[in-house]
Amino acid sequence: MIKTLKNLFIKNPIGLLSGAILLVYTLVAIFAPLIAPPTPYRSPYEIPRDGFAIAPKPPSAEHWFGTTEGQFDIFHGVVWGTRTAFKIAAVVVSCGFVLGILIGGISGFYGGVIDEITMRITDIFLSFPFLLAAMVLATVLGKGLGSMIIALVVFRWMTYARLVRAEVLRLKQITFVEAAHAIGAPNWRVLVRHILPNCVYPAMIQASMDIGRVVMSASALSFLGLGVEAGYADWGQLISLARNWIIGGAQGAFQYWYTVIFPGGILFLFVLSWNILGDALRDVFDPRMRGVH
Amino acid sequence: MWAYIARRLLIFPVTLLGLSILVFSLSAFLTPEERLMAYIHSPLQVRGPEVVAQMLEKHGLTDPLYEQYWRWLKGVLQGNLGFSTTAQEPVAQAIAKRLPATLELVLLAIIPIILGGIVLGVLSAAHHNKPLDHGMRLIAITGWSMPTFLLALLIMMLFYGELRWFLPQRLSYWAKDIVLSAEFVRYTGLNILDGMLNGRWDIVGDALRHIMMPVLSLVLVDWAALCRITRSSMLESLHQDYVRTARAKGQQERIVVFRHALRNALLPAVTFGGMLVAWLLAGVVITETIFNYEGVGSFAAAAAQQLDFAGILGFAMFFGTLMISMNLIVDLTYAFLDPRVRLD
Amino acid sequence: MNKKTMSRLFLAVVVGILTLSAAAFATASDEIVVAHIGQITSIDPSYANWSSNSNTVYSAVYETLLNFAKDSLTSYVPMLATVVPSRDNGLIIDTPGGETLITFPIREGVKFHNGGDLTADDVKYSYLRKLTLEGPGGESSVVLQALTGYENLDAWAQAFEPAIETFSEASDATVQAMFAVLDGAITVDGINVTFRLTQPTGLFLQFISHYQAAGIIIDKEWTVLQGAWPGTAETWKDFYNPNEEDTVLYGVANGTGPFKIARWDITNQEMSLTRFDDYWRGPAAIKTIRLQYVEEWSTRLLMLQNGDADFAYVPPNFMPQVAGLPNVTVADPSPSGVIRVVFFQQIIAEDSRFLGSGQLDGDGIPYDFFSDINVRKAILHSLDWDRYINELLGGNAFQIKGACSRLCAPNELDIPVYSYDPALAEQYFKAAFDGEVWENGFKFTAVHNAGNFLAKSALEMIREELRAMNPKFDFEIHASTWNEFIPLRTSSQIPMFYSGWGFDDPAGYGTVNAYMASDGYFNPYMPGLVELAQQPGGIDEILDKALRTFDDVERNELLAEVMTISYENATHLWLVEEAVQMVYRSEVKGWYHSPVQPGINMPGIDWYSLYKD
Repeated sequence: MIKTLKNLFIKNPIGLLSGAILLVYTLVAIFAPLIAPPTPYRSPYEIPRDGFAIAPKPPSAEHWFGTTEGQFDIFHGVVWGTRTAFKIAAVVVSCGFVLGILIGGISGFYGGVIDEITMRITDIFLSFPFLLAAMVLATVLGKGLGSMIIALVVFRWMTYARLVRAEVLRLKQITFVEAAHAIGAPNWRVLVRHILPNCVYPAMIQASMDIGRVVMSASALSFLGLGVEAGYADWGQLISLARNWIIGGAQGAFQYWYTVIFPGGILFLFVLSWNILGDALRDVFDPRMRGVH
Repeated sequence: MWAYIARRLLIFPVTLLGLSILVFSLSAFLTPEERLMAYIHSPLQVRGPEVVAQMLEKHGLTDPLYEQYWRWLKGVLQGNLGFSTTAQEPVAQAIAKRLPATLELVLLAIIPIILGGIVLGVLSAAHHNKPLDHGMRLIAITGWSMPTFLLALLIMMLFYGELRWFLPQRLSYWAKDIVLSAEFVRYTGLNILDGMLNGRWDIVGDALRHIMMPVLSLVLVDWAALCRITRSSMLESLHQDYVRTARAKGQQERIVVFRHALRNALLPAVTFGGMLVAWLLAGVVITETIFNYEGVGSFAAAAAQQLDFAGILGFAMFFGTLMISMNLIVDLTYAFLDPRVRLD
Repeated sequence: MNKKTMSRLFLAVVVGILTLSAAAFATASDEIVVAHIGQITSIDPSYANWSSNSNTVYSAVYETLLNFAKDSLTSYVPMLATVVPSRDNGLIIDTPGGETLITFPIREGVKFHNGGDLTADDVKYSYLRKLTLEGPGGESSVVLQALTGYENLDAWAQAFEPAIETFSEASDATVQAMFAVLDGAITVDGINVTFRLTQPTGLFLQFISHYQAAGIIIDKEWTVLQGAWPGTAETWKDFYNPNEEDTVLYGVANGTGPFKIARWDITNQEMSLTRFDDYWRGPAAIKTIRLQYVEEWSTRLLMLQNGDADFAYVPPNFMPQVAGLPNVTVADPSPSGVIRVVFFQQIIAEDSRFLGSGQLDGDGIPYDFFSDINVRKAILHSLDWDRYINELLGGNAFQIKGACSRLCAPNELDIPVYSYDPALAEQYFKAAFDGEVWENGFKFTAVHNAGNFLAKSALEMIREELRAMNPKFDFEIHASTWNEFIPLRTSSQIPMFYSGWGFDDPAGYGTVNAYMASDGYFNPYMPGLVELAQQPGGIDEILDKALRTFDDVERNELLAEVMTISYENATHLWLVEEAVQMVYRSEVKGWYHSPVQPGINMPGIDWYSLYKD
């Protein structure tokens, strides 16, 4: 384990850097109430506004990152948006993960008709590109963090299910499982005790790579106007508030740079770090990649 | 292999049926009144609460869901996906009209993606853990982490706002006047191809100028994905026994890479072709909207934003069918190409 | 593809890019491109869709007998008629029987786009088609009322057959009798068309001078040939109240206006109009007009910057971005004429999903929440007008006094308005529902149309004020599309909602009637307001007088009286009328602001007056 961690970080400075960046994000999410204190009586996720004027205002002592269209404080939105991002990522990825392990595990382990049916259902769900599927479902469910998360979960389990199923099929052939069968252990016990724990790794690598994608898809939904309610702290929402100002105004193309750079850059860095970390994890843990190093 | 193909073909209609159930069950989340929206084409249709009740009755929106499903399915089988209020025409017609535009976009984007992605992926793998590999991976992962909408807006700012090289929409008005005139034969609906077939190179040039920005934003994001996949499957096959053997036999590294490893590595990349089309089609939703490019993607985005439920569900049904058919084709091709495919 | 083709393709790309970079960057010198966001629906002038977007097309393609004089809201110029009728020139005659006869001599030598000649018969047919095709709530209701005494066909049919509820159920005999009345009300004598007004209507000329109303003249022969109503009583019902896309003039037009439809590309949401060379006032300076729907604001802005669009719709919130752009003219602010209003539903449908718990327990409101005048008054005192107008609209707006634009005469009169007063608001909340409102708080959902920044901000400002007043006060804000909104509104489901109304008529009667009369456009679904309007001596009776009178001063006073009743009863939250600024390329000349000119979600354009330097 220590060796793998060493592999992961020491030999891979970029991986280390991305890990450090993600640590900062985590700290920001944890200490959000201290960094950007919420207004009394209001949900902390509600971005405070300083008036209702339309044009965004540049960074100032009062608003470190400036304000968006409609005077939402970008700093507050970005800080609490970090929590939202972790929330979305955690719920979507872990739900997808659990669903995928259950479905893939059962499908691979029992095989036959069950396998056939579940895999065809998986195919049907896979027949939509993720963003499109989530877009359709979010439209139907209506605005809000909850419906967005549901929309993302419903179409996020299939990759895990396929991965786990393939892994289960492989493990079934391996001696120790056959031995467990031979000594008369019940099916569910073999599945839970011997097979599933061994399939978790590939699914976990997949999960780490998914976090970035999920958060990016969520922000795309917000950009299309299908995400969280207006004023809810969320990076995608902040970027969508910048949408109409990105190309600037009479004072040049970069007049409203802060509306894009802060939320956009923070989203990009978050996604990038997760992707790099996921890559690094895969290089270290993926059994098929082990021989490579 | 024949048994495999027969089974795949048999399952195909079953999968489509499943798809229709999935799509329809999405609409079960809606209240009858919300489903009624698909039938309201004009404010004048609804002149009182009694009209709402009458319309619910008339369209059977308060019937049990299985009855509604059956009715809907019958409609879908006859090509009737409902009336889209965003497009102001039946959904099937709306999609059919916009499909060539999206097809043109996807076809044009897919060439550089496949070429760039595979070549750079192979190069990266061949130089495994060398600076070239690291650089390539960094670029690829950066592209892969870039939100399409941000990239598209930046591209528009640069190429239309500052440089003025490329233009939004599909054609300039002068070109559109020619394309829609009687002298110009619309063979395919793809402007570039039709321009060539009609010998109108000015149209080809104009169409290219308009399509460049959406193509660019699709390419920059999706190229990275293919590059990553090619690289890892290449790495895998480079460590297969037969490749090692080839190396051991003292063959040139170039030959090892291109003759032995690449052939195998390309198989997953072929499968990936199907996925790529799916990604591109997802990408067009945002790019088409931003560049005012009237294709299937911007239609879907508009339908979603304007709560045009018939439009969005019709689009889902159409799209799902397309993807399932494509997967079938990919699987069958694969079965012919790769003798190892068995009944699994 | 052989080598030759390849190299030609390559050459084409290079040459194309090089030459076009120089050529195609601005619109042509005789072309006007409008980048807008108003979806054009039916362009059949008889199909009233209340959508100003189609009206933009009408103003280029069709004409009316009279039009408003340039820069005037009260005087007319003859268009397809040769004289403006008046009592002085003997073309308006009051009969001893209490009827009014108005005669229009029709202009000779006017051609339709297909080459046909305009005749008095075309005029009669145009009016009849509009009157017979429209269902209740149509744009021609004032004209119908003037000619027959009934505001819609349903009520009129009922006068013949009390047992029926709608015109569709009327017997053949009734239809024949009704047709005979209409046929006799508009008579043709040579080049003259005479309207017989059974009910004197001072505003008749105004209502036929406007593109929205029954005034548009179409070609009878050609229209019937397309499969439209042939003009007979027997076929009336077959063509009555059709679906939008079922009318024959849905996408084609044959008018007398300076431009004709060249193409309507619904897929790309582009409408092209070309100059009509045989136009009776002489061909227009501009050859081609393109109405292009462009949803994305950034794209519209860049099109304007690059000269690829001559006019672009700039939402008021994005004005800072166009101020000072080179080669772009931003016109002086002028009143939009658009009335912006928040409605209170006094009797909400009890099954509404917007009521929360449905009780005054802090998680909802009862169905009759807004029937307590204290609640309404409290909310009316909670909006900070100054802040709304200055922060949101850059000071370019005015609080309105009621259902009447600043452009309308009654607005000059002394009518009280609500002002921002949190202390008073608190007092009213404490009085509402015997103090229960203040004690328990409330929660409900307010609705506005999606994408309307002004509506959203008004609701947000009120919400912020209420929350600060009492943390137990709250409401959600739901953005709705029209096809969701209309069924909800017509079934009285929404507690509080926003709506707007474009500039309708300079006299102010149309908007006041739409908002305040018991059968006004909005009110059949507003039980509380219907009751108020129907009171003896109440709004309905006052409005009836206002419609009949030919005396402008009397009409203005009557309308002001209705607006005062609205104030006293706190019926609506009358928001503001903002000033709008047209944004266009500086090479475009000849644009002037005219509030009666229909616009496509932006100030109107008189297409015929445009030219380019």
